[in-house]
Amino acid sequence: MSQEFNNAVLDTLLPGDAILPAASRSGIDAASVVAVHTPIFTTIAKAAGGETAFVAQAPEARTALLREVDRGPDGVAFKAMVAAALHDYYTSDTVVAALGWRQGAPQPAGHKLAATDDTTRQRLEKVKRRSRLWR
Amino acid sequence: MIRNDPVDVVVVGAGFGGAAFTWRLASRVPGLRIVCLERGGWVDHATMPPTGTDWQRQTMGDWATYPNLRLKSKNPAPSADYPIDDANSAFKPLMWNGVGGSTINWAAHFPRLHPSDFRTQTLDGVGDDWPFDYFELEPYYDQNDAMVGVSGLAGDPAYPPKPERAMPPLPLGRLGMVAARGFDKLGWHWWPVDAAVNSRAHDGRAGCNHCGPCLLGCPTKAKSSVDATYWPKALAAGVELRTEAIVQQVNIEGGRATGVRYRDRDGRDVVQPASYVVVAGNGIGTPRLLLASGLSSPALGQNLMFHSASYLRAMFEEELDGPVGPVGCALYSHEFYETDDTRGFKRGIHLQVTRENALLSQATRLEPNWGADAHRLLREEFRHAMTVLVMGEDLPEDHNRVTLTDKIEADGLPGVKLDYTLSDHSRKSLDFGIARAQEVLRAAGAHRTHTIPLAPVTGWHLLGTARMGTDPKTSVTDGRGRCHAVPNLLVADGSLFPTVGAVNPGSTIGALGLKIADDLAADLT
Repeated sequence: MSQEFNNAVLDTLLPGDAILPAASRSGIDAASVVAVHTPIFTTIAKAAGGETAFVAQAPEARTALLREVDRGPDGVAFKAMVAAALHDYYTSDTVVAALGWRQGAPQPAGHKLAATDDTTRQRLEKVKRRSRLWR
Repeated sequence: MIRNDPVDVVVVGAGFGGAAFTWRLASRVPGLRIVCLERGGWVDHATMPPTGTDWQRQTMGDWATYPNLRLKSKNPAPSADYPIDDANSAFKPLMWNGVGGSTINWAAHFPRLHPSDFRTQTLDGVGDDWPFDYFELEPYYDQNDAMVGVSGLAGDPAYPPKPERAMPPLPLGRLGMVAARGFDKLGWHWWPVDAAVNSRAHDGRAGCNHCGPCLLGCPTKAKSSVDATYWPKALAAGVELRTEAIVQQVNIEGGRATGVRYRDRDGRDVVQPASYVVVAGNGIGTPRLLLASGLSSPALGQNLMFHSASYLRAMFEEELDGPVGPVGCALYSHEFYETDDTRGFKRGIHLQVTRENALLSQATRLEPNWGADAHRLLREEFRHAMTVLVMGEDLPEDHNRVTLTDKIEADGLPGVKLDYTLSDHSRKSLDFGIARAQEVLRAAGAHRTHTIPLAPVTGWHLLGTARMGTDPKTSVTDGRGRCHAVPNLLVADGSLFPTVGAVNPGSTIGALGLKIADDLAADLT
């Protein structure tokens, strides 16, 4: 598989936009995704008439082709490859940072939660004054 | 075959029911020789997934909530699982098999049943009444709360008065405050949850720092799990806990239990004689063992109840909290918990506002989850979403059940199979709840909602398969957890529930374990 083809497949899955990077610029290890899921990349290349043909297609045509593979007899293998790509992409530091979120393990730093405001406390007082709801 | 010296009581299972029972009995009857056999081991909190950078992957691997998925993991899971044939079940069973049981990876939402939940037949003509009422269990609820450590707020009109909670409620966060706005607009009940999570340092455990992924275990022990609450106290009271000990059979002779046979960590068969055998292996593990042991009881394994569940995700323009804070613990509404005949079904629903899942989970479940549309949907949802879980009351039905298969599994026990079909009653209650959840989310300001009409991977609550009652034809045990057919064989877990209400059962399982221990202690002293 050529790197150009691999990137074209992954960038069709995860194309990026004004905020998010495309898969090939997200720092994910494309080679490892391809290594584990080589047969489905081969299927995609065959469906497109070759790797070069896939790369040459417009983004919309690539998407349509991948949707066909997704719905076809190799759908299970395709979905497994997508799951692997999603994992690498959405755990990549670049992507997490692009979404404005903190990278790394949840512990030991944890997170802050906003303190309950006075308006909410007043709303709760109204509930507290209700007659009993239980039987 | 090794034959150990007899003990007074052998307990099977070190989860919530077994832990509460064991601690209470050891405290009430000092000097009693009590051994607990647990198929799994201890989990090291310091190395739980939230301490690692690869934590998100663990939700689909050896820390998945679904044991069948953990069994497929490349790594040996720290939970001692067995396969469960759930092909014919609308819900997938979730659990943890080890010291602490499913409190290791639960959400620690800690509501009690309502008083009406104990009298559904008398009040509403459905299900069965419990052999005792809420107020008989109330002191045990209070004691269980004290042992577990509850953050919350007294004064909720949905319940009979409860004591002041040990800690103030967990902060609602922006998500909770926005949800409260919606409930307030409609004039509906809402209340901060009772959570088995420390809102500040308590009982030697840290306060929660809102890291988020509670279902991957709690490295700080701020989330109460019974390996960190009941078990240290039970061991200090003299209980012996043997881990990696898989009980194969309860030995029954002439209508009496004589002990158990188990496989130890070295694969040796061991007989443990005992005057009393107490089984607390959850609503699947308990009937599996009792059926494999030949216990004669027509109701054994039947009436499996999960709690039916749907949920809605709602997207807001304003920024909420993101995947932060105890995931199952924000606020709930019992506006629709009690029966109203105009709805077309009996009993009611629980609405629970929960927090965002981790980024990867959010991205994976999108429809579609790849392509430009997926990016757009994710940015709309991430840090802008809240979920309302709709939980309905599942009624006992004998065709929903746990049975054995012909296969002997790797743990030496027969395989286990679930049959569970969602009833029309449950579907009606969920549909009613979905409509109410949509109403409140719109009132709170959501611009879009996405409904999951049936949430299959919510089968935490494994209940009803060795139910209490007075009639041996329709129940397995009496009101003290003693098997009708074998009076010195007891059950002390969620299998005992005759009905389940519409709330999470952990609080009631712990209270039941304490009560059954007290009932036995009264006979022994």
